[in-house]
Amino acid sequence: MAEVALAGSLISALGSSIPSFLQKLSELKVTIRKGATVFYKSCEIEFVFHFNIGPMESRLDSIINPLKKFITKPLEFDDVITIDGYTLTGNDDLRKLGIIQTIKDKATVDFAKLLELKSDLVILTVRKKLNPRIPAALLSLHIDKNPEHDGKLTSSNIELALDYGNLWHKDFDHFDVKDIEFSFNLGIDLQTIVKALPTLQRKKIINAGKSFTKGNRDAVTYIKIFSDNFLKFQSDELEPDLMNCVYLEPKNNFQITSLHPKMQTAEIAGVGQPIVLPGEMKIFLECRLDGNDRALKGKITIDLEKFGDVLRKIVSSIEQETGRLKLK
Amino acid sequence: MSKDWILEKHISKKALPNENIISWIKWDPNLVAKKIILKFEPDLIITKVLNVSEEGLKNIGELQSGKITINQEHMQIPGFFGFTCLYNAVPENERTINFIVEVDFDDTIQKVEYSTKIIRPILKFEQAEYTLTSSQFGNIVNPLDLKLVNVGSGRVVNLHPFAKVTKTTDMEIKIQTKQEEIKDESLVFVKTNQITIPKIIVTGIGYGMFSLGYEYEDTMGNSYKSELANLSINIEEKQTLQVPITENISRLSTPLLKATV
Repeated sequence: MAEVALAGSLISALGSSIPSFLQKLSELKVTIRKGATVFYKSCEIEFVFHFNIGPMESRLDSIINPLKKFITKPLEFDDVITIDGYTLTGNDDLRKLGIIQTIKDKATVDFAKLLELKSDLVILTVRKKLNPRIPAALLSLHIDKNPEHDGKLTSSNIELALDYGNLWHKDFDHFDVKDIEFSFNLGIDLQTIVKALPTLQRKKIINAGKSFTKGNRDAVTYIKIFSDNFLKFQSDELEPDLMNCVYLEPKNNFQITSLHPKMQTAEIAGVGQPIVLPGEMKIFLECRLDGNDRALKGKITIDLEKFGDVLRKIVSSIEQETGRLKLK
Repeated sequence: MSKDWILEKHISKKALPNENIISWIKWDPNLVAKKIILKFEPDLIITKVLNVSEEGLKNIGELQSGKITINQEHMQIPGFFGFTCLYNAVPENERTINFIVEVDFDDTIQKVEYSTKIIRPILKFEQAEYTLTSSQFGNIVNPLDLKLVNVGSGRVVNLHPFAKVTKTTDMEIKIQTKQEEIKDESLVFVKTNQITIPKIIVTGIGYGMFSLGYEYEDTMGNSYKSELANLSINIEEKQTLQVPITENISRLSTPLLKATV
């Protein structure tokens, strides 16, 4: 229960002086829209601030002069990965204007200069490293340990909920967690491969195994063609077909980032001849969870019939290439 | 308050013993809850209450007590209540676990009821009695092909037979595993051509009885024992017999989708 004590707000990750500075801006009627995105995998956070500083003519007395009493030097940000800023009208780059300056991972933003820009809307984006405990604490999740299986489809539910609302709920107009990575492994049992082989091919592979040990040249060729074709399982050529076997729901929140098919070593039964066959398919997913949603139900489904079609496609190539071989 | 005040209620549809279960309810954030009470059954442990302050967690009550209470000042997000829990016993049968959430909106208390299923694999013998007599044995001993059926929803992994001798005369009965070369011609591919086959080794003469069962696990690593099948053995001449045990079980040979993080 509550493995980590996380108090305050994520805004304080920007530096101890920032929350009071933002508070002061609000008191001076500067409208600030604040957004934060936590990048789960890399333990980073990106803040986006929209400062509506109003028209130039009203700004001097109402904002600039009072603020100059409050801040005497540019604001400092530590451990910065990237920092950028621009104005919405005029599209001024705050770096080129010298308002944002960086030295290694330190950055300064000169708000006194920023407030003298013509545009009434300034956007500032800061990306920082985050305490690794925070992304882990923000999420509670459940992934089925016992996937559903109906012969044609196998699926696993993924359920996520946001925790530690004190860190993000009150302080941001928009908050989300991105790059939440999941990986699944589809273990391919030998029987699934055998099912993709027509009866004639099942007999042929056993005969080839037996004849191989006697030095039959056609059997050697058969085993080589068989193995070469099954090695296509981990080639780029079949990746689109394998991708087609995987469904993710909801599509807006989940996406496949990569597929890694791997081979396994088996033996031809009763013969002991080693052979390389498809072994597993590792699937990497990424998910995004919006703070407004608070929680999300997702699902990964593998269409085993389509997966069987991929194996049958390989078997069809084997049949075409080995038809003329004599295995006895 | 209208009946459709609730925007979403969710709980993990099913879970194995000791598997994390997650649940939440969402309602209009403008409706301020003064208090939330969660009522749950024994054998459940609440592992986390979501978006509740540290102070609130100290005051919600015992996490195994069957009831926890969260007051308004400790809720960090309006319109949301969530928790994680697990069932930490191994049930004899699959069962449904019920939850009640009472949300106190000051003028009215709304009650939300939902449930999840605690699943497990349950192995049973299709035939509970087997008899082996010496006339069956001859020179070639056929395997004792046990038909098992999984009547539970959980997948069976790591299946091992075990025996319990209940009655013997001048006979020793035990189970031994031996490595053998595969001769089954119906197979095409095998992990290795050497297979470990459990065998019933019977030495002596006369009449013996023993029970055979299976130890197995689910995909969470929970351990189970199957019910027992009774075997009677009748040997007329003094000899040593080796009876291979093979099992045929539903839903073992299918691709297994497994989360790896």
